Amino acid sequence: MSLEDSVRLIVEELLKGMEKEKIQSSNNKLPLANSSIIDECEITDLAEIDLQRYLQVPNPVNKELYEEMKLSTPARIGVWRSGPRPLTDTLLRFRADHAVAQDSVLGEVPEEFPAKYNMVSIQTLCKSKDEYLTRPDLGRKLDEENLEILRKGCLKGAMVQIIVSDGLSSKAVEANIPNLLPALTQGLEGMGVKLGIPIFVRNGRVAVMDTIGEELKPEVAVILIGERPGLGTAESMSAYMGYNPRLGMVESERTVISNIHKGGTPAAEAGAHLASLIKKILDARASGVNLE
Amino acid sequence: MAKEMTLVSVGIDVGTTTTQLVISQLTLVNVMPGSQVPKVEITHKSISYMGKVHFTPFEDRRHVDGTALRKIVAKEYEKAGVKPEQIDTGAIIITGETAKKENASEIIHSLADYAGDFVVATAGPDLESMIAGKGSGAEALSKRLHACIANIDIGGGTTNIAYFDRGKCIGTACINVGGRLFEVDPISHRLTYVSSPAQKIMNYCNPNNNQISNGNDLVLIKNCLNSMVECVERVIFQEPLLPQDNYLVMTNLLPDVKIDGVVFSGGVAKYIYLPGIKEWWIHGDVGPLLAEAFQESRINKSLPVHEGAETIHATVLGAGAHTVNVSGSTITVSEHTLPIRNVPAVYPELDMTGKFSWLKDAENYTDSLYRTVALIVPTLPNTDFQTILSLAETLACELPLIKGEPKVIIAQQDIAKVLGQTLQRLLPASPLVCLDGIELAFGDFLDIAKPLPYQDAVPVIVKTLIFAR
Repeated sequence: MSLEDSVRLIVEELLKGMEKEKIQSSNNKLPLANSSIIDECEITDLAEIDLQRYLQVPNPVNKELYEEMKLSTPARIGVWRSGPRPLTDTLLRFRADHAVAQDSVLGEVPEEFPAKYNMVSIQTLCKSKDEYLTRPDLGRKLDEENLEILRKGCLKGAMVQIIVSDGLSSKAVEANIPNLLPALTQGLEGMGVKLGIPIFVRNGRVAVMDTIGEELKPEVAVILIGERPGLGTAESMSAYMGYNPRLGMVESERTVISNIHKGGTPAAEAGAHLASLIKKILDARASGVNLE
Repeated sequence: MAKEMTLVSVGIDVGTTTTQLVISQLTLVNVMPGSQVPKVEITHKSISYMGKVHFTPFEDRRHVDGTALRKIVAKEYEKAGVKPEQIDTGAIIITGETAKKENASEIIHSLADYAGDFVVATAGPDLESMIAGKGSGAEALSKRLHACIANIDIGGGTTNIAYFDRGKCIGTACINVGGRLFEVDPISHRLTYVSSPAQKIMNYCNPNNNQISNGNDLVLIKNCLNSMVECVERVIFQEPLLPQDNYLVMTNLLPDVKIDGVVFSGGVAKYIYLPGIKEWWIHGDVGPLLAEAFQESRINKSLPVHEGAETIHATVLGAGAHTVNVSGSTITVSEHTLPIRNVPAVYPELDMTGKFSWLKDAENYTDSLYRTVALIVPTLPNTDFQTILSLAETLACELPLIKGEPKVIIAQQDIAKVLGQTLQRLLPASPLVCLDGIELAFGDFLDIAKPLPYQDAVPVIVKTLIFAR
């Protein structure tokens, strides 16, 4: 028997064995498949599970310590494994959270949202989300038509101009503005600050503040903008503040407060904090590193 | 920019046997990155001056000598090179048997006024137990080991026990067992003084009051001390107390939990960790003998014993460096309202409509002793603006009916700034202090210091404890 023949023989033997196994295992699988159809109605939404309280390690040696560690961080620690791979629900939850983040970037703030908060609504040069993501420069500019809306609808030379923009998370705007805006307005008005008409900018970048500043000449502009979402939260918002906002202002002239969301600084408290920070900027006539 | 702030803190411990003073520097830093809402924490505690261990001066068995005590403090300040005006915060704690002297309260308050602008006078066995456990390092150890550690602080007059479960104090006890309940003559080794709790135990151990002949003293003392340590054992191991224990156990609020280890502190602890001293009479008391009795006890033999960072200095270090908390950084404080002292925490009850009302609890503190009260806002279901607005409206109705100024409000969640601004709009004429980030419990009293430089946060000292009630 040549070497080639003996190899062929071995392969044939193996194939036969595998065939047999296949038939056996598919016989075994049948009842399993049925039961999973029945269970389907009772499947819980993975995204509903509070990951920090979800203990996946079976029979932990020190459950209390494990719980404490899980609660100390939103990171996905102690998720157990199946062989060298993550468990199915770990993987699915990861993908679900990733999907939430993507939805938040690509989603739109509802049409009626700006009017509900008495905001003047405008749009940057970006006509679509794709263009917004690929052309950051256009997210900072306004065309003549939108500038005209500003001239007609807004006050010129206000002490503080509030701007709200979807930025990279439409969800952040929807989640935080209803609590942040009234707190910010109340705080500023309580300190005797005169506010302009707030503006909503669709597809905006932070520096759209400069373009608006050039047009309306407020003393201070503050832009409340959705942050790039992560797997932890898709609802985080930042506030960038600039004294004397104008074209050509440098990034170091902006003061920023980030991480405004339920798990960070709560929106209402952030609004109150921003009010006193803006008052400080008005008093010092400077923002960003010049304020320190 | 990381701007560091330092507070100079003094701790003074007026104990049964000794009086000590330490001066520490607390470093406070905004621990958040520049782009986030600040959060000030105490990042570092260092001892800048450790005073001598003085004997506590007494006029007689029932009175502390206030003049001599003040002299000790003045001398230590001079040696440390600080003036009372330079002290930012701290605590004077009067402990053990000394707290029972007739003029204790008067002396300690006048001393607190002298010692610095914001030094608090405190007493109370439960607070002492907790402070000792913090100062000895038992609290930090329990956090590091993720375990439940008992700190046993054995002083001249009392043994103070505090349980720390993963960094949190969960219970305290105070037992009249100490090294100086019996005093002896260092030359003749005969008893010269027996304190009242010790006398009761002696009556129990020696019911026939046998004539104490030369040499019998030691045996009798040892019997008494063993009986005292057995009482401590029964408290720690949650065993039923015997009739004679009632003379000794002053407070016992220890929970029935399994403890993973013990730390000994206080003056007597030194002899537990370093046993074998021959001249047990050297201090004119029975401290070393008491240490021997603890050494032989089930506590030492059946539980893992850890060595703390401090023994005799535990309480004074705790008083100096571990009494101050820092509030959240987003708070509302009207100008010229701070500092204020001795503000009782007032808790609300829910009325028929589901709204909070503080009026009833506030009535407990209408005494002119209290300048104002602190209304505690319990945890709210959410921190939405609407929720805060309706809370502020309720407060605005009740605050004018509650006596005292400034109006003090302490929230359990991070809402002090928005709540404060809302209240300022509703009640523009009332001076207001609205804080968060402070853990409080029923029956607590607060001292609130002036805001820190660079930051809006304020140092706060919380006195008395939940399990004291």
